[in-house]
Amino acid sequence: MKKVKRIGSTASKDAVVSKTMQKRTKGGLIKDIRHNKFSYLIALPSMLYIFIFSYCAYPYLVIAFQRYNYQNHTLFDILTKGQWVGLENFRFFFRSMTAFRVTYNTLFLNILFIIFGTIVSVVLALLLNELRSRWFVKTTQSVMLLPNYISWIVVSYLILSLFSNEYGIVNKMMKDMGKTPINWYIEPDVWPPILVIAHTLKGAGMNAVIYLAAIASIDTSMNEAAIIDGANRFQLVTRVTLPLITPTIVIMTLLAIGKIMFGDFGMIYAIVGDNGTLYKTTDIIDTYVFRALRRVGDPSQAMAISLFQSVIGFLMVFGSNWLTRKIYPDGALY
Amino acid sequence: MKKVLSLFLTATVLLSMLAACGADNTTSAPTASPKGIKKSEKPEDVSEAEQTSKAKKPVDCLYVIPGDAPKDLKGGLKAINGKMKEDGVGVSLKMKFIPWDAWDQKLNLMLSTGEKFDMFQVMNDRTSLSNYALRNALADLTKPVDQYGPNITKVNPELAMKSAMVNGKLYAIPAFWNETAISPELTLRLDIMKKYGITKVPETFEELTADFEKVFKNWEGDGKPYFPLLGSETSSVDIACKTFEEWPYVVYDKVFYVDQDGNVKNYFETDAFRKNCENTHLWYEKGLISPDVLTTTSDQHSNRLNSGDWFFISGTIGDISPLKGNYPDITTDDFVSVDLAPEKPYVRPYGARNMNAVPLSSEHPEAAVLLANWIYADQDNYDLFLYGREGIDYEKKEPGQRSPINDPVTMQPPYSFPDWMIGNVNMVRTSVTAPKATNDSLYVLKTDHVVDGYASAFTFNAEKVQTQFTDVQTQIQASIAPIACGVKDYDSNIDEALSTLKAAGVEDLITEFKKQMKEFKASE
Amino acid sequence: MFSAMDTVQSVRTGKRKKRRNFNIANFIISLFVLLYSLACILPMILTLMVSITDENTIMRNGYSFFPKKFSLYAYRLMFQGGSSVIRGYLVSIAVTVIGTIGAVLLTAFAAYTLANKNVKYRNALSLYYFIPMVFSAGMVPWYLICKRLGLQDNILSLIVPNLLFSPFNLFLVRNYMSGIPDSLRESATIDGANDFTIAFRIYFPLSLPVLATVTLFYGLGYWNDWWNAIMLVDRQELYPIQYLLLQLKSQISMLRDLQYMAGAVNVTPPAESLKMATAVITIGPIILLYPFLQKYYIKGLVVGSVKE
Repeated sequence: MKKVKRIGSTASKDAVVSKTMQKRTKGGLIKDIRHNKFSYLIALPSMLYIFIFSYCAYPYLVIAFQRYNYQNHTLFDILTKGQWVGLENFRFFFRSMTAFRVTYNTLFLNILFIIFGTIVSVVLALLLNELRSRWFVKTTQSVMLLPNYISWIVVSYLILSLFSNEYGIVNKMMKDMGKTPINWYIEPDVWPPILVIAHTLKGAGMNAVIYLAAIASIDTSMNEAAIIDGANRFQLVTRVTLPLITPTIVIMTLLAIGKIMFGDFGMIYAIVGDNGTLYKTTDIIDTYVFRALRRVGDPSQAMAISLFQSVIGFLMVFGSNWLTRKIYPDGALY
Repeated sequence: MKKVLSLFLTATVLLSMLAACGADNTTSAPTASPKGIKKSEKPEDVSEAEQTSKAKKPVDCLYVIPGDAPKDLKGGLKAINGKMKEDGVGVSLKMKFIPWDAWDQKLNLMLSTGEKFDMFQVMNDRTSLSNYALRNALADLTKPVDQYGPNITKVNPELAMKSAMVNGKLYAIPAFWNETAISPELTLRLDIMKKYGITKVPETFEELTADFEKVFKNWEGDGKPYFPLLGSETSSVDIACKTFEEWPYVVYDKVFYVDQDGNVKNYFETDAFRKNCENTHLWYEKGLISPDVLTTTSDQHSNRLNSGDWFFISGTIGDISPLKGNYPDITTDDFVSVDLAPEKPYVRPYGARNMNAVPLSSEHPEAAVLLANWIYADQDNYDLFLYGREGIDYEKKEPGQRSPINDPVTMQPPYSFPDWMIGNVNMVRTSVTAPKATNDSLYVLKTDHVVDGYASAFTFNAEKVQTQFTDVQTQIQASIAPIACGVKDYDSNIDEALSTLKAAGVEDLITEFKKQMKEFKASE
Repeated sequence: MFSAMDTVQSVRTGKRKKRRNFNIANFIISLFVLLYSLACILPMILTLMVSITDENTIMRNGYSFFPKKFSLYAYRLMFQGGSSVIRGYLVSIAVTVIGTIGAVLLTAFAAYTLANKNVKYRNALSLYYFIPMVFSAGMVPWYLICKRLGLQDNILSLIVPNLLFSPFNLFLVRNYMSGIPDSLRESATIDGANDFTIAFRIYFPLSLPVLATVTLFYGLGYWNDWWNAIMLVDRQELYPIQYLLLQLKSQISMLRDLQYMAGAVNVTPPAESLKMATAVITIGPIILLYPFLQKYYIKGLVVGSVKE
């Protein structure tokens, strides 16, 4: 079977071309704007929006290095009257005996979420694409969005009804089968899998929607050409559809990596709550910081940890994106 | 093109200046000359406020509270402001409710950006007063209370006033709404007791255990009357502790054991803890405690209490109405407080936990003081503010009680205000829907068989040992809770638990606590 | 929607055939999808069932698919606000519609620029948009900026902050647009089209599937939001429906914290049924919105056949 030409394979050529062109033109930005007035113009509103709401706020990050003072209301006050304490606000976290563990848990769980979430939603999208009954497909697409709208608290009750020691369905089944029931809620090691399943079920539907849109963009002529070359159905999916949505998969993964140091606080807090016996495998940075700052703590410390999470996440994206640009430029973020 | 570009650049620069470094129009000076605000008076300095209070224009007092506004907040406020006007208080009250989910964050925002409000609720169990005070969020109320709040000091014992102080200055108006010498709080159901043929209230732990077993075994109906326990937050189940020879003692922050001689120990190393665990383990083995105790959520816990399917609890019930669903004949007499050692006194662990503070950005810090002073001035004011309008929100039931008039859908009166935020035990009107046992134990100041705890006036500030504090609390949840709830037995598990606590830095905590308490006592 | 099966057959036989005999692959796929759908819908059904269960039954027996006793108390409670509930819906709808349109426009425009290979600095721009996804300066400056811009206590304060633009959605659209063959742009340019025409005649129409997706995402974001309302709005008349619902069930965290307090908890926790009912009410509009958008998931209009 002839190798199907990937759409956008000219992109890498373009990248090389544009890079050399960039090297040549120095006052490049002004020239670029002049050449692409319209493009820059229509991007302007969103650029302004981001500038105002994000970039203008960044100077305030210095609060992470100050002792919090409720009376410093403006940036000027913060910069001039603030009491600088260096890395003091980070200390409460890094001195803790659990700092390493919660960081590890955050990363570990997030990586699992990304991997399984991507696999399930891509498979879901591919499968849905194969079905012919329109009403079935339409209904399913709506249905799979539903779990996204159930709050984690409700999910925690559902999980409880499955795994509760006395009334849980799972233990009931085990008793019926003659096995001794397990007290799930004091076994830390079973929870990462349970959390992964819950998280995937909740989010896969939304992500599948994204992949379905990507699939919809595939030019039918690609499929037709492949069939003429003798591709069967399975090959069609793996050699045509899948490669063509890979850029989307890569982008989604890169975006998720940016947030990899931020755990899903809502989920963990709702399901695990204050059940300390499960902390070994489920306590994440966000839940730890939440508990730490509950009685003794202030906004500076919260900001300090958030800054830490952001920096690490950014570095990881930076690295991943660099790697992606080398191997698979179509999927790079920037 | 160049024109457009330069315009764009100028606009950007202007915007950034505006957003980031703009003029400060949110003042931070507490008693500086105030900027104009709708209807408020402009006192030049504190001493003139007194004249103002008799003048025509009242001073605004915006009170910020967690929770949800009652249905008829408007009507309630109208009545309150009306009476305050009559009494010449000079304060116009407004209330702002912030939903619980957003309380901490919104409050922080309001304090951080110098937003104008005059009074807010501080819940020490959630965020300690010193947290705010030591970061310059609060106005010093020592002078205003001296000048305008004689009733405040009248209704609050010294113990309560001390708990609202940080470093010798008064930063809040305490809400001394209940008798705090109540632990261990044990409530037993008389109706259940009679139903299962038990003739007298148990007087020892052994009798209690036997009675409980009897009820459990013969229980009719779905479900089981487990001893309701919120396992994940339990560090100690105190049922028979009053009978121990160590009594009286108090445990602060789950870990600081303080006896009446001022000795401070790690509570989990004490014999008292061991004995409590053994008792609880006994109950667990007998099946009186749910096997799911460690995963019970607070909602489930409340639901269990409200369902009425229990014989004995640690704690009390505030309202019997939810129980009427499953137990239609239940009355407020069907509850009794169990005291397993009536000859020994109860201990007061602290003065007040809830209090009302004034942000530094308030332009009239005395407004909050005037308001509180008016509330505590006489019973009619108190009733109006807390319970609403007679005949609309509640009915008076003398002596000292009230019957709330609930809206049929919301199950709350059109206007009412939570006792625990600003109430005072000397003036409270207990509800006829609360068990008599609850009212008697919570809302009556004990005069005998009570002692003030050694550290009752002292508040520990965990800032210097913040990391250890968090880690120890985490480890308590992880390794102590199962032992405390009886799921795991004491002897085989305590050593490991204690060593994890040690690794978490519990020794530093004890040292710091001892140090601060010594300094406090020296300064008294 | 494109289906491989159809194409295989139409190419081979030259005409569309009706559904053939039972195909085992299809059956397995359908089964898998069906099971997945069931896993999604069962929690919803349970939520619905609990929302119409009598409170006391819940307290005694917990959740059940087959309630012993029914009650519409939760729904009555939710709608007892009467006119304020209707107002809440109106506010939510207005905010969602205006906000979503604005957001989609902003996103589509920016995505076009980022996907435009002629823009040499598009990578730098992408970075510019990406950084805020990871770095945030927190609530205090956000709050200050909103106040400074006058986004307080008015309808704009519900529309502009946070929700009017999402870099995540931007990258989705950009990515999609990058996949549109450059040859289309080239041939259009040769024919004399300028940037404006290319954008509105080629790129935007071809991007309908992804634009429908981000419409869905923005729409849901606006509809479910209560954060802006809590932080920036004090006037009752401007409260969206989500905020009103939140007020009814926000005692959850209060209960958690009141455990710390000695003494009686003098409040009834929010009804279990109520918590479920708020979820049911929220889902309604989504079920309506998505099928409406699904028709945009047809294959993008293929502009002729392009010779590579």
